Parts: sequence; structure tokens; C-alpha cells
Amino acid sequence: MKPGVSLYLSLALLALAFQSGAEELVVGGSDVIGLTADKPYLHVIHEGRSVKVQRVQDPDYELKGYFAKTARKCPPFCIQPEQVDPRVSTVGEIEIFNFMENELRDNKGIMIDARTPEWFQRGTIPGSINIPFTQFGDGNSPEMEKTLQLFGAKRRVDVSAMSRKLEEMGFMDGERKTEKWDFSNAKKLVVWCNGPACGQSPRAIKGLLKVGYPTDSVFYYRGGMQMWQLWGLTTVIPGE
Amino acid sequence: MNVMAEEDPYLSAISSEASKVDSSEQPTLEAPGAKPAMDEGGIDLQAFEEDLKASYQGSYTFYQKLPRRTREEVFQVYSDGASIDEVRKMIMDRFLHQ
Repeated sequence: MKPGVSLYLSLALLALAFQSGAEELVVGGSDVIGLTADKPYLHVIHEGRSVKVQRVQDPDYELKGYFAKTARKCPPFCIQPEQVDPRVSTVGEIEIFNFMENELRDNKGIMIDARTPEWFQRGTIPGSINIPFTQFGDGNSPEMEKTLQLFGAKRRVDVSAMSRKLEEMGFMDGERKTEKWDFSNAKKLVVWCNGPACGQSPRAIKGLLKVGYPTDSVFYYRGGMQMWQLWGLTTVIPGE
Repeated sequence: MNVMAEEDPYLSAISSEASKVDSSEQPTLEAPGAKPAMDEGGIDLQAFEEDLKASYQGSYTFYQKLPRRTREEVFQVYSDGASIDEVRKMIMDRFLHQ
């Protein structure tokens, strides 16, 4: 390479380095602690009201209280695996933000706080509804039936063994159907509880899979309330 | 199998654990450093829709015909401080350009 060209390239690279440094300064100089680099906050409807979801804006804020604890008795509060089931996706906060802005707004998805009501009453993630994991325990209970209907599933009646066999073999449309349920219009569900050491949402998810809920429509937010609060994200007290 | 009986020891353990949670320590409205979760001034969607219906019946009629997501965007613009005239213009604009 000619010395002139080399010098020119070096100067150009130097200029680029200064330019990117300046851009970083601008970004770093912003006062806003955003949800993501390009999303300062979002709105979600909770109990009929618009709730602004954002992070705590105080850079010195430290998490206190129950969700700041690192140790709980194990069992029963043992660290959960990353996956509840190999067929169910585990999601993080960014996916939750996208879910809130898309599936939740379009009424195509539901966020489920699968904890018992006494936990829910002490604070929840905006946009979530409380369906305790205990409701998913018995696939034949009236509660489970009502819950699945809320999720968009339809009860199937009088499905003959022959029809079901043909569905299973692919000769009839049997995708997203079981003998008892038609999940063709089943909503996407994000199921969560207290965090990585909480077994309530994994139990709920296992109950859903047991009745044949489509695995591509169930998402496990393992981080739960603990990670949500660790990021200083908005929570709401139901009824307030 | 009786699921509730199976879950009983677990249920009693999580019930006892729940009592340790202090809601005031969460980054909600009341927490130090947290900004209000609700829009300031107590604006909520229901109140906005009721006001619109009561004061601007025509705009409300068009507003109702908008998709849910667009209605939420209209409300968000209103929550962010837009005037009612701006909001009414937005409703018409969105309605005509669906």
C-alpha cells in the first residue's frame, strides 16, 4: 500500500473512532433509563386503565425487601431449570415488552400471574391476570374448563374414536385439537410466578400441557417477579 | 389423584412465605425513586372514553369504530398531553386512513 493511501486510511479510521465515541457520549449522557435502547417506556392496559411500564429512573435505587433476598429454604423454594419442558420457550423481559405491545393489545395473548391470590394481591406485573397454578391441576375440573375457554379453547363434543384416529393420522384437520378440546383459536400465554426459585408457574404450565394446550402458544417467564423488580420495572397493586 | 392434597404442603409453604412480602418495597407508585405507574392526573382509559362520549359524541362514534390498538394509541397521545382538539383530529385522520 502506498504511504499516502495508508495515512489517509489511518486518518479516516481515527475520525470514525472519534465519531463513534461522540455518539456513545450522547447516548450515555441521556437521563432516561429506558426499557431498551429505543424504547423508554410502554403502556399496557391493566384492569381497564393504561399503566406506564418503565424502569425506576434513580440510578442509585437498590432493590429492597423480599425480592432482594438471595436465599430461601430449598425445598420447596428450589432453583428451577431454565426450561419447564423442551417444547415450551422460556422468555425474558424484552420478549415480555414485545408481548405487551402486540399480543396483549391485540387480544391474542394473556399474561398469567400463576401465583396464589395472596401473592398477587401484594403486587403484580401490569397487564397480568391472576390464575393460580392450583386451577391447572385437574384437567376435568369446571375451573379448568372455564379457564381454557377464557384462553380461546373450545370444548369438543361427541368426537368419535374413528374421527379422532383420522385426525391423528392427518386425514382430517386435527392440528391443535385433542379429543376434548379444540385449540385452533387458543391464545398465546406467558406464564410467570415469583422468579427462578418459584415452582408455581412450572406447575401451571405442566397442567396446560397435560390437557394438550399447544406448546407453541405457551411461554415461560422464568425471571418472574424477582427479575422484574431487579430491573426496577413497574409493578401494580391489584385494585389500586 | 386429589391434586389439592398433593399440593397441600407446598401450598402451606408458599402461603407462609407470601406474608413476608411488603408491597411498599416494590418499585411501584410508592417506592422511592419510582415514577408514577399511572399517568399523572389520574387519567385512565375509561374516564377518557366517558369524557369523549359526553362532550364530543361525533368523535366518540368514529373513535369506537377504530381498531383497539389505534384507540390505545389515541389514548396514549392524550395521556402524553395532547389537546382534545388534536385528539379529535387524530381520531378522524385514523378513521379516514384505515
